[in-house]
Amino acid sequence: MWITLLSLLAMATRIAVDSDTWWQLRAGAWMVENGRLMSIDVLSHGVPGQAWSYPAWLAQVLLYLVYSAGGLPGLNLFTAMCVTLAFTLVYFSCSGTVFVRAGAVILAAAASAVFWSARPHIISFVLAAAVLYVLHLYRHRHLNRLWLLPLLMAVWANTHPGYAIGIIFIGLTLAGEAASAIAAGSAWQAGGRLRHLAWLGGIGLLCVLALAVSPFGFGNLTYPFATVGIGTLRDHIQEWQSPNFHMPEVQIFIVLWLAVLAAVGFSRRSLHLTDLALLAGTFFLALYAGRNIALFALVAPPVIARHAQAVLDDLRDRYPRLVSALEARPARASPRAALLNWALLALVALAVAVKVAIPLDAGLNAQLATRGMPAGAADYILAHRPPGPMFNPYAWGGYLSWRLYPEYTVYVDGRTDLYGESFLRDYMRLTSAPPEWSRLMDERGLRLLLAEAGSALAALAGQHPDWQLVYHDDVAHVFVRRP
Amino acid sequence: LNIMPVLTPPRLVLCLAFVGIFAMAARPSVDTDTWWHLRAGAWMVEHGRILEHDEFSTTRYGQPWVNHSWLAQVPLFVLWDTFGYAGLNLATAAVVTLAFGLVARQTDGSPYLKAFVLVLAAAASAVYWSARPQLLSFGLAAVFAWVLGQYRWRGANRLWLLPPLMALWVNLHGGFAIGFMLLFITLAGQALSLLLARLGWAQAPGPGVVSGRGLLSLAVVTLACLLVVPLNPYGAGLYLYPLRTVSIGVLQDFIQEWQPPNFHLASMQLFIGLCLAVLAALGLSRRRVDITDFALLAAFTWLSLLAARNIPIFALLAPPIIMRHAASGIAELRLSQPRLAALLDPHSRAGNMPRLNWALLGLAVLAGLLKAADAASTASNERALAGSVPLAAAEWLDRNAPPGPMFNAYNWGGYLAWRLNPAYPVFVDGRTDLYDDALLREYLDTAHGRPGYAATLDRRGANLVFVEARSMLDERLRYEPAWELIYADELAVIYQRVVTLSSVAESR
Repeated sequence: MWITLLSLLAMATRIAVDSDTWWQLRAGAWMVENGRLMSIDVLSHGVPGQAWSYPAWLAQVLLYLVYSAGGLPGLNLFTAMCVTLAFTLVYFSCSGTVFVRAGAVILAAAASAVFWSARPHIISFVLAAAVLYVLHLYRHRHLNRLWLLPLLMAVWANTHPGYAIGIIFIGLTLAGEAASAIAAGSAWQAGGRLRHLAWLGGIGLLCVLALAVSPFGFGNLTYPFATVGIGTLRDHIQEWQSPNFHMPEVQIFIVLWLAVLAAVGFSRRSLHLTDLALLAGTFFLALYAGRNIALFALVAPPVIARHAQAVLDDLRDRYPRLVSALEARPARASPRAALLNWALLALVALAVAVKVAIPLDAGLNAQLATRGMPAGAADYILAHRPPGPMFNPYAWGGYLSWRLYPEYTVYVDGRTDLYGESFLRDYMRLTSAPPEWSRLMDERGLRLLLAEAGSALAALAGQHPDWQLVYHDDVAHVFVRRP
Repeated sequence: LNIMPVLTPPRLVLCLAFVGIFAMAARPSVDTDTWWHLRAGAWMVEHGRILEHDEFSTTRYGQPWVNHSWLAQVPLFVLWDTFGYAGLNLATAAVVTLAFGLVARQTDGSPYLKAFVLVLAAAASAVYWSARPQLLSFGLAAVFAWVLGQYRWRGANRLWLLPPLMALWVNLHGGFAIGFMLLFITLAGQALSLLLARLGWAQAPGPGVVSGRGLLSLAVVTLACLLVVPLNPYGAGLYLYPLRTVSIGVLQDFIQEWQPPNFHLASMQLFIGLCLAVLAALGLSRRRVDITDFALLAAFTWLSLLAARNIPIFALLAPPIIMRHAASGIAELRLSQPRLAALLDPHSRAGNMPRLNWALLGLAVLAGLLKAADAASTASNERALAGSVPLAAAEWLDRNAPPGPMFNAYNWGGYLAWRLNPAYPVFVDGRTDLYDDALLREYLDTAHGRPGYAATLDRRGANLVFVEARSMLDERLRYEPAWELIYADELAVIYQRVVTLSSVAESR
């Protein structure tokens, strides 16, 4: 078990900063400095003075505090600890032998790795695992800790809009339990099924109400619908699109799905309807938007482990020795074996320490975390202070906010919910460099232009008499509007 | 003879399912690639020989072309020539219905569930029903799956059909590789099942697993299928053809049907439904999944997620497996929940109203025929095409005949080759295997108006540009003094070079 968890920590400790981390940090920094929520946007001039009700202030402040204390390595370690904590909860939701549980958890972790980055959603991931764990305790261990769910949801409502997932998990569980109660027919009231359903339903309702325990009140209830309804998000942002299975790291999800099918298919145990509901719901969500693969990875391991263990149990009669070797469940290790185990653990811990140490190197972080980001251009702008306002690519908005605020505000950044559909469509049109692009820039009063090296906009601005190239490197070109 | 009682409710439901599948499939089935297949078919009928070089493009003219679908193109053209859209659409619907008929023959269990699963599978595969040789691959895959399924589960040995069918397949479409996948996976699954049975891990060969001799027959038939591959105009070269096609990077990156499915589309979400039906069936029954069944499911789930065009093959394989497990699940349920089981599989229910059943079937057939009649009419086909194919622009070009050569949108290459050849050979069309990676990237850079697009148009000597209205190239050329807009409608724009390149040459 310890080896599994240490391996997870080692897997998850890597450069965790992505393009969206930066604006989350900037928002956290602003709130810490000003001692209040950023409910009106101050970072962008694209939509000046717009109300911003992104329910993640708690996570942003936390991420900023982690960053202040430990810099980029601190964020990497924090992300890795969130991932490890989430999968520890998954591990404890799995039944069966150590090998079966470890195999299922490691496979699921590998499938979800595309999602690990230092953003509030990683805390959302831990909370999703926690909700599933509480539901697991209730369903399988008969431990009623359901009262924890409204508390978790109240925290979640201030951490990340992913709280919708918590409600979905509770809803799917309720549906699955209700369906199995109905399938149980005349015996459906036996064993207090009705009471269980009432408990779950009541708690579910409390959880929905708990979402209002946030500065945005009941507005939180509709927020996720508004975000998911932004067409540009679904059409152009990779993590909201269907997974691209041409990428090997995404193919691990197919392996996980086939592992579920294999475990469930080869065992003679029948699948619980709640498990079916949770698997079906998260499978659909994962294929709809790649970022949801992480949710399927939380739901799948306990089912795989339960059914794989049933396959092993079937084989026990015929192959007692083979199965007991796989089960590795000696009553008590002999002193010699125990020593060996400790030595092995120490070795693994050492290897993990080495793997973990690499992404914690500050120099490496500074180099890798800003890869693809206009670090040189930001240096230039800070040193020469060309007049704004600035036009910048969407993917760089967060980084530029982090580097240049308060001297400069950005045109657009990763906060799709703030900008809304029509602004983003207009932005996409501008970046496609239509023939009248320069006039459109003028109409918007933009005087400083950052464009990706090699982009059509960079090529056209380079030839345009009204724009002057003042800085360029492999990543970015900076142009200023001639008077 | 009184046929009235023959139509019991279970049979009625199945009949309705098939009328439904036929009606679903009877629709305008012509897609962008149909046209160049028709053009090639027309050429072969006219010249009385196989077309093995390019005749239709400026960029590859005269170069050798592996026309692996030649045998399908000829009847496709004859159908078109004789019956027009009606011929193509009804033949497509017939192939689809027959394919699912073969799937139904392998599928047991509750007729209601069976009808539901068949319709779900058919709907999931519907995105790729079009009048192209690819559809024959779909039909032949259904035949292969049926022969192999009947051999494994019913002991019916029709394996001898496979080598002649394979010899046909290699001349019909490059998708013959699917036949080999089905053979190899079945062979491997059976070998593993036998091995495990011998080791005592699984029960002795029972239903779904053939004997050692049976395995040998399968191996011999697979070998025979491999040996007949060279029976085509390109000989043994065709062994490697499927690999070469799959390795074209642009195909993988830009052609929709080779990309992973986009599940934001409702039509693709049906595939998720089918996957979940597999999970539910495997999970809710206590029956252990057969190793070969699992291997087939795993391989084609993988392939479907990698390239959406493989979804139809998954849809052919899944229903029998789903129903095998559903039947076991219902049998188990009968012990604990007889009423629920009876609801799902109302075998025991007696008493039906034969007249009503016939009336219902009659009504459904009538509705299906109306749908088919609509699909057969030229007007409704042209209406369906008008939104995606530049009928009016091509007509205009044909009438006004400005000087070429032409640069054209990839998606319209097939239609333009059909409509305007030989006057205007195309720059590119759907024959990705003919145009290599480099040319397709050159096309994409130009069509997207990326820096250097004007130089490419110059170098290729293009005097006309025929692309989608509001496309990037349209946006660029609109402000380009060297080009003049000579035609525009909702769908297409045509630009002409102000000073045609040949006249530049003459003036020099």
